[in-house]
Amino acid sequence: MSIATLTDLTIAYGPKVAVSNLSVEIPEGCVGLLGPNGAGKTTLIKTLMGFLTPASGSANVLGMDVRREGLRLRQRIGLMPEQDCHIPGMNAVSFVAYAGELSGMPRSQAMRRAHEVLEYCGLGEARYRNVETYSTGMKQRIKLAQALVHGPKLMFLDEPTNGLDPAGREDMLTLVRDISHGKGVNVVVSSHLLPDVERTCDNVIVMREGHLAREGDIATLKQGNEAHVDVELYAASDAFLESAAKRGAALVSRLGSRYTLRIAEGVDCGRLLFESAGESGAQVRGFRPSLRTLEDIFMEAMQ
Amino acid sequence: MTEGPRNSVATPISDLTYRDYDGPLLSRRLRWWSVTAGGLRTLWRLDLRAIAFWICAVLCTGPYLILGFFLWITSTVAGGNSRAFMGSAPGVRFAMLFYFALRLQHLFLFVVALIAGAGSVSADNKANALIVYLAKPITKMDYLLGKWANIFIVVFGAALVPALMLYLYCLAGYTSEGFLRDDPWLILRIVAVSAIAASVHASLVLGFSAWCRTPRTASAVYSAVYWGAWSIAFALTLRTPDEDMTAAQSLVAHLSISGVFIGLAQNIYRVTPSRFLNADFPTPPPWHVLSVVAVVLVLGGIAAARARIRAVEVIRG
Repeated sequence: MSIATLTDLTIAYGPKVAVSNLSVEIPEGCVGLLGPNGAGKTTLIKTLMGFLTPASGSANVLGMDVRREGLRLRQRIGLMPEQDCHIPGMNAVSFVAYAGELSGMPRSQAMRRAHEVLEYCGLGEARYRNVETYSTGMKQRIKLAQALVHGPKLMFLDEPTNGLDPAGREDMLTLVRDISHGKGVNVVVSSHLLPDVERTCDNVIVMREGHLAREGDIATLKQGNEAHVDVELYAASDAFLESAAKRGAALVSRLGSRYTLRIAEGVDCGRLLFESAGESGAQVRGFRPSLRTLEDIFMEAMQ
Repeated sequence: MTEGPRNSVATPISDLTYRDYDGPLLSRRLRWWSVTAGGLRTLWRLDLRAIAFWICAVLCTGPYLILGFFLWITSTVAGGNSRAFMGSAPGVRFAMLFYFALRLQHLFLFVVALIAGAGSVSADNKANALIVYLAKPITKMDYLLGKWANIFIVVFGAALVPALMLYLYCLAGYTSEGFLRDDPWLILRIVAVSAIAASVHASLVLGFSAWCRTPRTASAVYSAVYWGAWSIAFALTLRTPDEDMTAAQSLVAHLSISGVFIGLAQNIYRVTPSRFLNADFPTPPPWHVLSVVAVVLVLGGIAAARARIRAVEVIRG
């Protein structure tokens, strides 16, 4: 099941095309939206919220067309923007309840719900404080609370851990993970911080210059199509690398006498390593399958 | 259900788990009222802005209280004849009272409009709060209508309540002197005049607020425009005595924000050129000309705000 289907979606600011012919299905669960600055992530979120009109192509979110049903769509979507965005002069309860009222909740329901959501987001004790006096971490939490108050089915979180200290970041990631797993809320996390995405998300969409660079579930992407092995030699040996390269292995990285090699599909890894060692006179101390990190996937997508 | 990640805090709410909201939702047509109600609630807080508002709201009653006092003095202490104080034109004796009070009150109405409206959109601009509103299921027009109605209600209330107080006083004490007989529709005229003043202020201050990044800037710009226009109109007609003004000069004299609704009020109250408490009232420009100017101001202010309000900055190029 997908929560959003984009077909040949092009978004332009006048003559400048920000997203070009993007076709992708955003799956249920927690999805990471990755890409360098200017890749089109925020533009894509703005479009899926119905703020921007696509130049061409189509985008359906939760079965609704973003062009025609923006209002109905926003009833079921929550947005946690990147920048601070509180309504001046309000305390947390008033602010979150007001956000609920704007979503159509009756005042009494909005107030009850605001208390619940603030408790859930860890702001229970500070809920009567003016939001302007909040720390960065608390401001991030209240942005999450106002996005959550009306019970959305899909949330867009734009850089949810921006400016947080390690403890605050940990709490926020736990919260995001909790919302997206077992609460029936789908979450799209746009972030530059790959470890955060790796911690919270099951799937990623990597964008580059307005195009789709890579997509899929993180576990599958980490395995890749080709095997990566970490090899440790007794001493560094260029002859070993040359010999391995002749047999179809490519050097990915090296650290002293440790190498990460990419081995083409169908090649017997053990045989390749031992033959190369035998030919070059190198001594293999050990080797094991190498698991790629999200950073590796991201860097590959950027090339 | 699993528990939220932070549930260790001692709290009166026992259930800390997140639940989906499946309660009732109000009609989409009433969403603008949420914006209005949110704005009105800020006037009940104990902060500087609210205190300043209530002080000005009390000051708005001043002109009506003073005129009511004069009316009482002349009708009781000074020989029981209030007609000398109210002028001699029989059909508009009491209307003159309300018109003169509005002329005095407009300064306070301006300040009330500033307090209620200067920060209405600019404070949201400053705090990036527009995205909070527009990421919810409300349209740009819901937001604008809600903000406009908030300012309108506040200014309308500040203009109408003191006038109603004087009206009730006159109704209680001066019916025998022809209060209701002179002008049975006076109450409607009072409501119309208050609504026009509130509409003009609400639209213009909303427009200026939308184009400014801070409430202070919006206040400064609106003040400059309000008093600048008044000063220019005053300077252009300074040398001409009120009683000698031509129709064109009278129009120029009313080409300011306050001039428009005061001129319309003069038409609505049917106050003819006369002298009242040492003040001269010239012939006002025709009501239809002033109405066109008022409509342009109201629609212009709303259109200016509408052009500026966006959920996200869209930079073309």
